[in-house]
Amino acid sequence: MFQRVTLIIVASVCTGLILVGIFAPWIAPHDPLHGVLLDRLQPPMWQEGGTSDYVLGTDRLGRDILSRLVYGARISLTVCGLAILFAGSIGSILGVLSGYFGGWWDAILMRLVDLAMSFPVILLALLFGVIFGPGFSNVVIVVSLVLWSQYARMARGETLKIKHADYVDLARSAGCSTPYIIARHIAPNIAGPLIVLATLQVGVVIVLEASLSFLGVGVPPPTPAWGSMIAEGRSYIFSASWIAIIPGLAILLTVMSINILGDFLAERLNPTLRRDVKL
Amino acid sequence: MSRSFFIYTLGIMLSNIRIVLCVLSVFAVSLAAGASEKPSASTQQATLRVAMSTLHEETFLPWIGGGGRKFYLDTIYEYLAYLDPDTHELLPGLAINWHVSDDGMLWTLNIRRGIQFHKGWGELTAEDVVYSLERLLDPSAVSGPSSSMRAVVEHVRQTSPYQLQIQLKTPDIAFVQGYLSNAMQAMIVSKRYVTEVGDEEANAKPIGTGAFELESLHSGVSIIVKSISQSKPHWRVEPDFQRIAFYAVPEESTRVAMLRTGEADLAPVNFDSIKSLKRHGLNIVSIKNSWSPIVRLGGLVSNNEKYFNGKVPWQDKRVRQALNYAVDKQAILDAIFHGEGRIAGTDFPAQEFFPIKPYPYDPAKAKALMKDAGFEKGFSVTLKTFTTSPGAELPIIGEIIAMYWREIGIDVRIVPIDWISLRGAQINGKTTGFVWTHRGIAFPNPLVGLQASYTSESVFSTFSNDNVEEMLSGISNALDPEVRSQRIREFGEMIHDEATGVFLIFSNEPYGATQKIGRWPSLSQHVTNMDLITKSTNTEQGQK
Amino acid sequence: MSTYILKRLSEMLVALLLMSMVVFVLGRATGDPVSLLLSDYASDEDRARVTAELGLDKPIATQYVNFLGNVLSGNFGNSLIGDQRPAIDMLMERFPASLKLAGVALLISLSIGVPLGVVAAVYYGSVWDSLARLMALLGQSIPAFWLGLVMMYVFSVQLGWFPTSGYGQWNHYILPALTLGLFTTAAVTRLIRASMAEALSSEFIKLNRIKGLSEVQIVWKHALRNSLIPVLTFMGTFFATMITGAVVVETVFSWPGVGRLAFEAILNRDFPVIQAVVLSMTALFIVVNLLVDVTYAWVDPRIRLAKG
Repeated sequence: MFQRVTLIIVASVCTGLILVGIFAPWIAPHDPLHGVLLDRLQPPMWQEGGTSDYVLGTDRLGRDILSRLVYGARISLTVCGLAILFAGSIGSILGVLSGYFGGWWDAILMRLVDLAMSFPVILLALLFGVIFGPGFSNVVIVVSLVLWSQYARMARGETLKIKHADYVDLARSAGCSTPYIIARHIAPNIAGPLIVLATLQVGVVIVLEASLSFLGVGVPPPTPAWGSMIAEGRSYIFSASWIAIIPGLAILLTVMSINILGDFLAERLNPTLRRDVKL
Repeated sequence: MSRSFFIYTLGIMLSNIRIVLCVLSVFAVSLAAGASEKPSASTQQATLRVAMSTLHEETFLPWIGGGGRKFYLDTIYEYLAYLDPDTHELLPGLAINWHVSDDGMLWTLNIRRGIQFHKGWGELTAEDVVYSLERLLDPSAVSGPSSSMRAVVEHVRQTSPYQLQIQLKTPDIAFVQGYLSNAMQAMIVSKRYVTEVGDEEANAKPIGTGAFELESLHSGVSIIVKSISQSKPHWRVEPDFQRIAFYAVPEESTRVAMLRTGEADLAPVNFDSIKSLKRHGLNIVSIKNSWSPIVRLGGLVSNNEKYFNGKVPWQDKRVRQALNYAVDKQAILDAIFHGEGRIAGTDFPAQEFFPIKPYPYDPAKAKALMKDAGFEKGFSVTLKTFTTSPGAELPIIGEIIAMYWREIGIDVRIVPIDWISLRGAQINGKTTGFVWTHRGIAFPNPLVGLQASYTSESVFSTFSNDNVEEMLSGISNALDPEVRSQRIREFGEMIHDEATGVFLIFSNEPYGATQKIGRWPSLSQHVTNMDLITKSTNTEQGQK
Repeated sequence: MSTYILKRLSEMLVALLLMSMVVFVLGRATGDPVSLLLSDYASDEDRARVTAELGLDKPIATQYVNFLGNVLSGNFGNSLIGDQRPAIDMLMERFPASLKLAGVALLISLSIGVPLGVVAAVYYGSVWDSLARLMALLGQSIPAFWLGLVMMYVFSVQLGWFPTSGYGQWNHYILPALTLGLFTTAAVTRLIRASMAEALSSEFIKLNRIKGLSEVQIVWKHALRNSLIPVLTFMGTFFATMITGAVVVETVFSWPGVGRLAFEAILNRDFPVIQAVVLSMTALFIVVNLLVDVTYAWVDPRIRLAKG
């Protein structure tokens, strides 16, 4: 019962977020890019000096934080979605092929995975950011580069496990083509753990995006991404703490909801699975 | 056998929580034991602790690094002349006096007698001065003013043990102020010391004539200087503090926290931190008119193809003026700078430019000018922005400018960049298609700043044409100080009228200071005079 | 055993070689070292001279071979900034600070993560479990710089327990190590929880129960011993990540570590230093992983057979 309630709450939070992202222009009370300098650094309405005009207060340029948060949902979820989609699909495809065919291709791929996993993540992102300049698409590319290897490793492992399962052997002896076997028998059976991995990485992506912004190579201003909102607010942590705390709470809520959803999925799909998911 | 034993030991060791706790407590105790070596209260009182955003190159020879290091180098080395912090008048330093020939090209300087280098490296003579200047003029020198000095100086020559002459290539009646004063980097080293021990050691253990000497360098953490012990008082400085410790603290919030806990006595802070620092009993001491945020417009050097772009909308003077009228500078000064500064009518802070009236905030006029120029519907522009120190506010200013320009129909795309990339692009003539936030600084000789920005050959040229160049040589050829000042001011008015950039603020540079700090006669970003900071008498009374 | 080690060693060399290529290319792409070394007004002859001095006028393949030769002899070139010290010296100067911080952070994550994970597994599905999972989640969804600044505010500014920043004394370690350790604490908690839960339901533990061992002994000795192995395998990764991943924490707490050195080098386009940091940290990472794998294989022969 308790679990069910949690699940409902969590699921509605996730759907709500996606809806907020999609309908941002209709929900946001102000223009997220337009600030009123005279209204800068206004506290949220429940604090002393706050007004109902700016429910969650304003930032250093006098922009409405609520509006930026709403638009930020769109930006941050898009970054997450795209990065995980790219990294996930490329990594999984490479991993499945490598696990299924083995041989020299497998050896090369696994060395590449080792390489990707041993490269200092933040330094890699910084190098890319500096070389290609900060930008939305660069953030997505950098984050994908960081994440793909985990999918490759997991997809390979899972494929190895079931490659000689009876039903796969059966399909093979029945003369099914390799692409058909992969699409029809392998992919559906390894999808579960990969999806769980993807949910676990939502938090990683958002936090990574924030760290990139902190170091100056994140989503560039004035675009409101949650991570860059926190990074912008860091100089105000002693004087106008809401600038950093509010997007921080939004991230927390989102990551927690998606993780709980992931946990639920994991336990539904395979109870022993959590152990295999690399953190 | 051995394998299972290994598993067993490992398992027991790591799995037994009591052991882990034991190890932890031993660890904690040993760490706590190290705590006893805390500095005593009296040393703390005698040390001035300054948290800066970076210690820059952490090098100690004048010619191997930039002017960013000056806040610590100036405590160790000394200059030929000093600017008075209150009157801005040029006062004798290591040079007791100087004069220039009638053609403005041959300078003769007489050196003060009896100045001793630290640690018994002998008396400072003209030979040391000539050596120091020659090292700075050497093509391998990477210090800030080296390259422009090379363009001006023909040669330096010792004429007697206490006299030297400097022959210039072009007349410059402000040469001492512009290149040899404490606003620049012509610090005097001991020739005998540097040539005897070599650059490497002379850099690690700098020998100067200042009131302080290097005590320790901890890379990435701190530079500590201590006052020299000598029988008679130093000729120029009577240090109030036994030591000055400079810390590298990149994060502004951390610097604010250090001020509040008393771990630092002085630290540059953001304008937005001023209010809360004051609320917590800290003082704000500002370096006045230290720098100026400005928006530079690419492609306006009409007499050098490399830096020219005929297609940009701001090639039209009316558009440039509109860009200025569109921005509410007073609002920016009040809201972002908390009043720390004054609104600017021209490029960088210089005494001669202060009377020039800024463009008023007049969006209607801006729109009208845009319409006249044929841009009623506006245009798109890329605005690049980066942070510097001081200048952490440049990205915010970029965003504000974008907000104001959107009001007159200009679509602004902001691209964050870093200074090194932008500088590289500028040198290669690749900045002609966009605009960028930049920072003007206070030059001891305004002509040096003007030459960097307004001559066609300069790699930092932002606006130039034949008339501009002529006006510049008019300034440099002026042999009378009055005429020279007048011409500099006229040049400033020309810059204003042409709207060579978007002029915003002549800004102060705020530092948070604890009650320990008394008087700090700072003058500009490059003349911090940290060795002259005094202890507050209040605190001392409080202590007693 | 020796064939396994040999195989792993050769794999390691291949990975390092690949990495050196990546680093070389990225280093070349970060900017023009010549204009960094020279003043802005340098003549074309000066440019040509410095280009030749650095060997940048040679074909890219030759440049790479030279680079590799130098790196093998421990020479990463000199920094382009200031007094142009050897990059490797700068790295070694900063390395101890990073090592110490990572060590303390790891200790903290183990001492918090292990008990938390055990409790969560023993009371699987209970409030304790939810609490542990919440902690683990928090650890993964809070940006380090934010946490660091908040802790600084609470523990330094408000309570005055620890210094805000700096390096040297024991109390300088607490806040940065806690901040750095939080993410790993979360990971350790999750790992221990998962493997403990599995261990507790294994035949081996059931046997111990039948033998009548006390529950405390079963949990803290027998089950935990088995569940620590997966944590061990991740230890190498954690440690290396902490050393290089500390850029943000080092910036917030003014810690003179390798991460900040690399960050500043990247901003200054000081590519010999970037190469030195990235290559040696990657090498460290790979070596640590190799050691962990070999130890693991030695401990558990099944792995050696399966992988070898």
